[in-house]
Amino acid sequence: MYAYILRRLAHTGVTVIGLTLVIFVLLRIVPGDVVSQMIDLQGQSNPRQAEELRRFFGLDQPWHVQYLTWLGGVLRGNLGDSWRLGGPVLTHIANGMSVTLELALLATAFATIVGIPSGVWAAVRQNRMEDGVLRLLSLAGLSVPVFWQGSMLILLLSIYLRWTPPMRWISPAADLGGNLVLMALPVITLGTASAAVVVRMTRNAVLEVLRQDYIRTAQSKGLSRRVVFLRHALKNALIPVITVTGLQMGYLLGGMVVVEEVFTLPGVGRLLLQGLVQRDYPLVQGAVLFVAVIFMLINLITDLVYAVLDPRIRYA
Amino acid sequence: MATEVVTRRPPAGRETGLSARRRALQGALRNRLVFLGLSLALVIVLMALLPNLLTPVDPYKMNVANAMTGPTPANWLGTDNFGRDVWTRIVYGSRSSLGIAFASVGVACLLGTILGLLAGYFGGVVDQALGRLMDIFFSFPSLLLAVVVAGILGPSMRNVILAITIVYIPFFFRVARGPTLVEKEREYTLAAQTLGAPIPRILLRHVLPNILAPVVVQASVTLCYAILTEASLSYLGLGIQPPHPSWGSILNEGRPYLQIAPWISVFPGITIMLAVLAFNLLGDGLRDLWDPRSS
Repeated sequence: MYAYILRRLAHTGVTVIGLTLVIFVLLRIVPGDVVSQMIDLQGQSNPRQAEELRRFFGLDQPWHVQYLTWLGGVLRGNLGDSWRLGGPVLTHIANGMSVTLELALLATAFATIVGIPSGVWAAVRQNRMEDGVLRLLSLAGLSVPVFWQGSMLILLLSIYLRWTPPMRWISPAADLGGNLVLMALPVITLGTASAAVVVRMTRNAVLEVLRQDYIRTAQSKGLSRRVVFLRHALKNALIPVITVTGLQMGYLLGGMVVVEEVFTLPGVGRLLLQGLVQRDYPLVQGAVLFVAVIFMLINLITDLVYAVLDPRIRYA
Repeated sequence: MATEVVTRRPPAGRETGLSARRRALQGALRNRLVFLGLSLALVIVLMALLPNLLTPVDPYKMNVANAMTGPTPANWLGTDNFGRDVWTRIVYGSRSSLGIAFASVGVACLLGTILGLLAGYFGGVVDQALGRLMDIFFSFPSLLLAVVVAGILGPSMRNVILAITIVYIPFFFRVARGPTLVEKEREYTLAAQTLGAPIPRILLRHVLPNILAPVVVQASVTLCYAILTEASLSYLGLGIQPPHPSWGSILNEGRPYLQIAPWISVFPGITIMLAVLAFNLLGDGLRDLWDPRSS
């Protein structure tokens, strides 16, 4: 198991370095860097000033030198300074990450709390009307554009409750209640598609388990339906559901960029978007690195939890 | 209640009758949904192919005097901040939205499947190298990767297609590679090899038809993601730019007027949802038809 974890971590390291290299090269292939953008803003072209600025940002160096300098900094825990926001990239990302991770964790909790019971219910009522309705609803949940759902929730609440969510960030450390009120809509918005996936997965897993021989054996022993269902069926059906929920949490990191934009939350997604628009290379590279590492760690932890829960899985 | 499905299982003799009935019921429920998906998809594709049949108005025609009026008989989905007809813009927007989705999924499907076939068939170094390359793209949430690529390349239709294609190639690679590994060990492939058939012929004539089902199912699912991704990119200002209509860009333009002219935002969103729902339902139907493992 430990050998497996080490191998996976090494593999993760290589893959993440590959990703940062791809993004690094892509950022520099495309015409229009931060300097030309700054000079365009000033409305006058001054080649000497441009050259000086490029030297200041290190853009006059060959690509491989720029990349290795950046990578060397990363290994020493230094992601460089943001070109537009000022201050260390690491600080900006750490601040943004607390918002993004809170959003992802709460949305996963929402998806689980809504998704698992609904999925079980759909399985129990298989092929009846409730099942059909739930399946259609879960498909609809998968089909809604995240940002649109967010806007519609804001619209409905403002029409019917005359309440608009506060647009200023409240940190959970300062005011937990205020923070949770602020996060409610973003969490529902982000969690809906995941809840839909969890419903579908739970339904299929429960139906699959109910067909197994050991369920029939348990019934033949004369156990009550409730015991058979809760102790034998549900326990096993939930193993693949947990895996899917874990993987969904990773994908939620993708949806956050849109949700943070709709609800103006100061997370990593908006930071990344801002960095892209303003050609703030260190900020983009740092944000990509962070998201990739967290994404892959979530996947690794999900795999390990799966192995612990399901004794049939053993990693060689 | 929970175990009804199991405890009511009848003795062996009657089993076929009941399970046949259940299958028929399941089939009917399914088919109705698949039928719904198919009809919706047809309407939406028709919108993109023949927009002038559905609306006589020019999607770019402004009429500021008539700006932001709610649904009326003349503009039945209302007008936007420039007085343009929202219905007309949705209809013409389907051209960019569906065009981008079909183009990017088409290219991703083609390239991903070819790479998957090669990796699966040759194995060894080819498989290792391609696998590692694809892992890089799997190490990042796909929507976010599309945002990063589109954000770097700059907003244009070509770049959106490129961004979505890059993101989804690995999905087709994975779906094609697995079954290729199985098919290349089958006797018919070995027979073709023994007879001296050239490798492209073996791959395209023998292996490809046998791995096509999961690829097609993947394509229908990816189409949904591609529609949603294009909408997200255009909404974020990284995709189709105003004044060109796409479902996402109409939503982006309607954003500041959400409270005073909600119809600009409500209807394009419903259209996206229906389009994605249609292809999701079709995908479910195709999976049941061709991929017996998941049904």
